[in-house]
Amino acid sequence: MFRNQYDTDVTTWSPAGRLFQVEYAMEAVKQGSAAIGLRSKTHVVLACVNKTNSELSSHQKKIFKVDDHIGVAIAGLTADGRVLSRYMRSECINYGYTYESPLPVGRLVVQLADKAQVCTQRSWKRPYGVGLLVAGLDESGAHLYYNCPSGNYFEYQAFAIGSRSQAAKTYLERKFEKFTGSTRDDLIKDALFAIRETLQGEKLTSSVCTVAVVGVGEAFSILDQATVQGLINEFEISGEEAGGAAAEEAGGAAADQGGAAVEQEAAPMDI
Amino acid sequence: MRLFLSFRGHIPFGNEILTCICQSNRPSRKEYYLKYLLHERKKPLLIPILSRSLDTFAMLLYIHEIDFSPKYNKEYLNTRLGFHLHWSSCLESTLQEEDKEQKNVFQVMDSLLSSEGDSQRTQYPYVTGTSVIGIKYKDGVLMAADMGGSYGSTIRYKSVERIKQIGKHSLLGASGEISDFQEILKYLDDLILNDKMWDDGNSLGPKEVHNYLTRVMYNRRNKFDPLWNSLIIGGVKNGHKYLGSVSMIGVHFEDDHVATGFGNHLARPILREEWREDLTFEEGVKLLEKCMRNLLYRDRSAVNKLQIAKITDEGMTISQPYSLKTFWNFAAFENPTVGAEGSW
Repeated sequence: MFRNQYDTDVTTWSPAGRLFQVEYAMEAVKQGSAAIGLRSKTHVVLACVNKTNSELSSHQKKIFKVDDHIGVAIAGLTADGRVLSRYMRSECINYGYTYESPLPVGRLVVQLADKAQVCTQRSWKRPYGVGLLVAGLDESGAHLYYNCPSGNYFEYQAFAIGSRSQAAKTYLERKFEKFTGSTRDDLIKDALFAIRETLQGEKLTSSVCTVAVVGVGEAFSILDQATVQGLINEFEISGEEAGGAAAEEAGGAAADQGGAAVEQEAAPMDI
Repeated sequence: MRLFLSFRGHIPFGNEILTCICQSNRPSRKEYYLKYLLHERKKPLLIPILSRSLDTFAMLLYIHEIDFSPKYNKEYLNTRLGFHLHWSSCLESTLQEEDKEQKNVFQVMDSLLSSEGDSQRTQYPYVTGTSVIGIKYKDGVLMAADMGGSYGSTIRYKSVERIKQIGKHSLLGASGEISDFQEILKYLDDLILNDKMWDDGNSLGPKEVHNYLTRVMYNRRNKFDPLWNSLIIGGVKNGHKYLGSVSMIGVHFEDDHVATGFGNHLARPILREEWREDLTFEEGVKLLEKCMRNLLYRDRSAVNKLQIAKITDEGMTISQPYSLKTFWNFAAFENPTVGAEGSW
């Protein structure tokens, strides 16, 4: 099922000036379950949707602590994400060893992007199939970056990636202007609201999402399940119980892929 | 294959070429040994050279701009160098019995070459600078160092700048081997340049520079090839004063006042007595001058030409060289040998 004759390896240009293999890698990010990030002046919050491949299995970890001041949330091939977060950890440790100070977030992001770029220009390599939301704090404040498989990176006030992330993006776009002055707890609240948008009616509980925070005076940490559940209850954002039946249907078979129809064609990226 | 090279002719030339060969082959002691042979024994020599092949050997000559084609054009080489080379290659076992001397040289060489880590690493300092002192004060950090460069105990140079600016936020003062200090400055130039090239608003502060230097110093010490310096790093970044020191073996610490070398013994006791957190600039300079004057009187390597550097959040300045007022007319100086029978 090749789209055309120009997509058999990464280094082949299409006459229109596109690199299809790289674009396919970008698609892999959209297949993964959603991850979102948002920041204020002092804090960054990451959140993601946990999905399980079967009733019998646990979910895969999608948020990783890189260092005390940096963490990532991933969407796409989890295995690639793990490799990249290991790389980031080692870069942070090395910088810390040499300079005894935390690696500036922007620099780590560029290094990461350069690493991804190399894979788009070597015939014997494959681009990473993962998008990373990098949250971090350094001298210049709180930062949120998005790194994609193409080797591009962008800094955001708030962003969402992965399946059904458009719904979360819409929510964030509506609210982002007030994030700059938000408190830590407000950010978490907005993160949970944004995550709920991607669930399409499925009930938001602490078992379907993970939330992490980093900020001034607070090392990057993943909130434990009880805390998250407490916040969900406090904010009463678990979702409409009324649309239960419909939500059940959507959230059951299709898990959190982009709907049943898409599911059929999509590669099983998160297996 | 073992390659023998004997020569007759201009000894320095032969010395040069053999040195080249031996350096390329393996450094250090072998080289000294050859030098010894060449200097002590002014007669034709047979020098065994360990080399994988004649071609390797030819290549070594080539590297040192001696034209030596794989055809082994001896005539050309002999003309070019003005001495006669005699080439022979043989295995150890085929050594002639009567060639006792040759064999002896061979054995000595073998024993010298046998241990892999026999290269002599530990150098000694040649031109050195004496103490540097650094103190924190109200607005930042002050540093003082004289400008002498001692060649052994001879004060050979009198305008050595031993305090330098590192990046936007740091000052580095060094005592010890001046050339090693220059090497360190080269490392730091690279470091700062690479840091600037990110062009992202981040910059290395004194703490980062201090830690980097600690790693460099400790790493070189672990190679048994230390950079022969004691360093003092001072600076201010984002309102935070920083002052620390690193020794040639990588010992590092931070303090409100630091000193190297003799300064540790002569200046720091004064600083411990008189240093305060809220020292003004004028008071700080006065205190440093008091320390420097003490060093000048008692440290024979100190010279009366010094620089004082200041760094604050606004920026840094390193003063022009100047001298301190001294007073030598104490009675005890007039006739120092009185009461010291037998001294001169």
